[in-house]
Amino acid sequence: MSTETVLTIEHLNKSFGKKHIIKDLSMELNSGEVYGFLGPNGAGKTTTIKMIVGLLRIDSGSIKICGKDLLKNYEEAMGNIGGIVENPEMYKYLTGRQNLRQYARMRKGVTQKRIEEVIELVGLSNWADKKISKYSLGMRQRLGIAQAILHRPKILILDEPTNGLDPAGIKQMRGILRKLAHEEGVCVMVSSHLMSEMELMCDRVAIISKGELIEVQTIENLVNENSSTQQYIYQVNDVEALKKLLLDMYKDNEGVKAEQEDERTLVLTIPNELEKDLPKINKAVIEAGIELTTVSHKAAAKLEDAFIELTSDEQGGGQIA
Amino acid sequence: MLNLIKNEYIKIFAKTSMKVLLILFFITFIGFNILMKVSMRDTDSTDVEINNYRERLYDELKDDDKTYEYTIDGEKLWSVNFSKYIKDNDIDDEDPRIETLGSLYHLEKNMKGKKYDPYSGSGNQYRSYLVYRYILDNDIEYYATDEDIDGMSSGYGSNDFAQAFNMSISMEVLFMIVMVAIAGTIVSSEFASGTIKFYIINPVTRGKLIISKLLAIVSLFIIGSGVIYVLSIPINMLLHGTSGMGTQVLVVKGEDITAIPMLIYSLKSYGITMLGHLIYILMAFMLSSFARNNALAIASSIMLFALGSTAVEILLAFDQDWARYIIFANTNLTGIYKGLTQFPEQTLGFALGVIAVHFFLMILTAYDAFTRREI
Ligand SMILES: Nc1ncnc2c1ncn2[C@@H]1O[C@H](COP(=O)(O)OP(=O)(O)O)[C@@H](O)[C@H]1O
Ligand SMILES: [Mg+2]
Repeated sequence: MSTETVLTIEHLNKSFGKKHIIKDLSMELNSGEVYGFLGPNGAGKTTTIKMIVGLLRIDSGSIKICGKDLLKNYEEAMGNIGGIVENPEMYKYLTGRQNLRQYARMRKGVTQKRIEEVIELVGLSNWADKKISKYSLGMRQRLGIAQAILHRPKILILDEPTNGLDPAGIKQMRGILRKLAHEEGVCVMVSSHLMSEMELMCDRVAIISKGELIEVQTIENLVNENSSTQQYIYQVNDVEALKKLLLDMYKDNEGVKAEQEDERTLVLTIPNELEKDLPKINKAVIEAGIELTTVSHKAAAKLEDAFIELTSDEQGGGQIA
Repeated sequence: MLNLIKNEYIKIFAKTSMKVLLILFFITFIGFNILMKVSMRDTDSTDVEINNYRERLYDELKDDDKTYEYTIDGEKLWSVNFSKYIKDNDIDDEDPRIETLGSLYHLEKNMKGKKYDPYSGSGNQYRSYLVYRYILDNDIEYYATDEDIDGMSSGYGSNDFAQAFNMSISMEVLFMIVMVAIAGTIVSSEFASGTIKFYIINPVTRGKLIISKLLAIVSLFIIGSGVIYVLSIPINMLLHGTSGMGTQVLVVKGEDITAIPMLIYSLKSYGITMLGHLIYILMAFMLSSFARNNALAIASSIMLFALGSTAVEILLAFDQDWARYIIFANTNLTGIYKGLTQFPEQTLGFALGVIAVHFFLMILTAYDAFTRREI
């Protein structure tokens, strides 16, 4: 599947009264990728998304959707977009299916079959004829997605889609979004203030803070470039012995830290350049007669550090839940 | 656009509150008609009573050999010998024409020496004379005058059907209030429930969205009012018999009288009343498009409905001539058409112009507020 740029944002600005909220924001999003839009609360994620989907006016700058200017060619541009902004609010007095029919009538080429297809896809077949007033937040979120992809848009924009979902729901959502991007070539833009979520879901991440784009990176680059150390989690039978062994091996290197988490878990922190030593370390552990259950790379924590580093200010750091 | 309007209809009718309101309206509508029938029965004349009345008149008239002269402003209009008239026209003691002759017979005494005064309202004897002569000459059994239908006189001509039917269609005013409630929430409820976001995120311009809501409101008002009108026919035929269906409305203009079938004449005045009521519905719609609060739009429109014309009267009492440009000074289109105006030289064209300008401004305001609003 060839990739193309489907969403181009150039020099976008937005003020509320005298407050300059979005500052000269430019981004390019491609088909077939899950694009994370990451920033602490109040960074301007929702404001940016609202401008892309036509809820807020643009002060200056331009938004192009599949080559169509949003302001000059509104209906054609919007035909390529589906989205959920903030909470998924539906008509409570209608059923799930009736709600989808409302949107089907407002868009081109949505057949009855397509409606059934999206209901199936988000797993609401048993609930489609129940009124929204009976739905949980998670179910409304899923119906929101069904609504957003109803007309097979090239761009799917979701503002904090995992809000209010339980872990199983988040996993399911992640699966749906990755499938849409990687198998159907949809450009999925997901905003979040949660680093850990982005890492599991996205191919690229844009970090925004106080209305300014700080950087856009692939997940791997973000982890590696912005962190000088790596962390590994060791599950062993004798944490004390392991700690002693590791500190003996690297007693000259101040970058190496071994911290006990609980009676079976130890977290090892090593500088990036020592990552190649890992096989050597593990061999030594076995030879010392310590029973090693698992070793795992603790990447999420690293990404979170990177995120805090990137978005923090002198007052004391970005806000992450 | 039709799809958008269909969406609005679905949303309006799916709400439980709307269903309750419509059922209540329907019950009130039927109840009102039945109540009217019950209250009319007290004053209803039975066939026996009517026949007794006709017999008495007949006896009185056939023996009166005098010739009566009808004059106005000293000009002779008609002279008649009632006993001869009855004989010449083969009228017996059960003929409905007897009643009209009786009315003319009693009118003669009242008309003597009177001057023609077109502004003395229903008490104007010359007018009555013209109406009775028309009925007699054209052999009309059931009639009502235009003033009866337009609510300017208390009588309803010669039958209950005409009165009951016109009372029944006046229930449109209740329906208008239901419509004010719908119009006052059609935009603001999208904001109140948060559904506005999914509503906007569609490949449809905001202009089309707001126009579809407007068209849904206006068409629903027209359809609903039409249903009230049409339903009033069988209901009242059931309650008051079918004979009144042929009632003719006599429209008196100067010395000319035209007879129009009541169902057609009433439809015309019904349409004019609806046009006046559309003002409050559009007002609620306009307020709804920039209020975040549902109740505000409804309450203010109903308050204006209740107080608008009073406000104009107060201004009028203080000789404020500019008040003629206020929409509430121009809503009584039927009266204005007949020349019963509050302001000098307030023509029908002027009133329609003022209404059109207000309609345009209200729709423009709603459009502008909705298309520019930040969500
Ligand atoms: N309608 C509004 N009026 C004034 N300020 C607003 C409005 N909407 C958002 N803001 C401000 O803009 C900033 C960005 O908000 P938002 O885009 O919601 O952040 P995020 O979604 O990243 O948490 C915040 O400081 C917020 O207070
Ligand atoms: Mg937000």
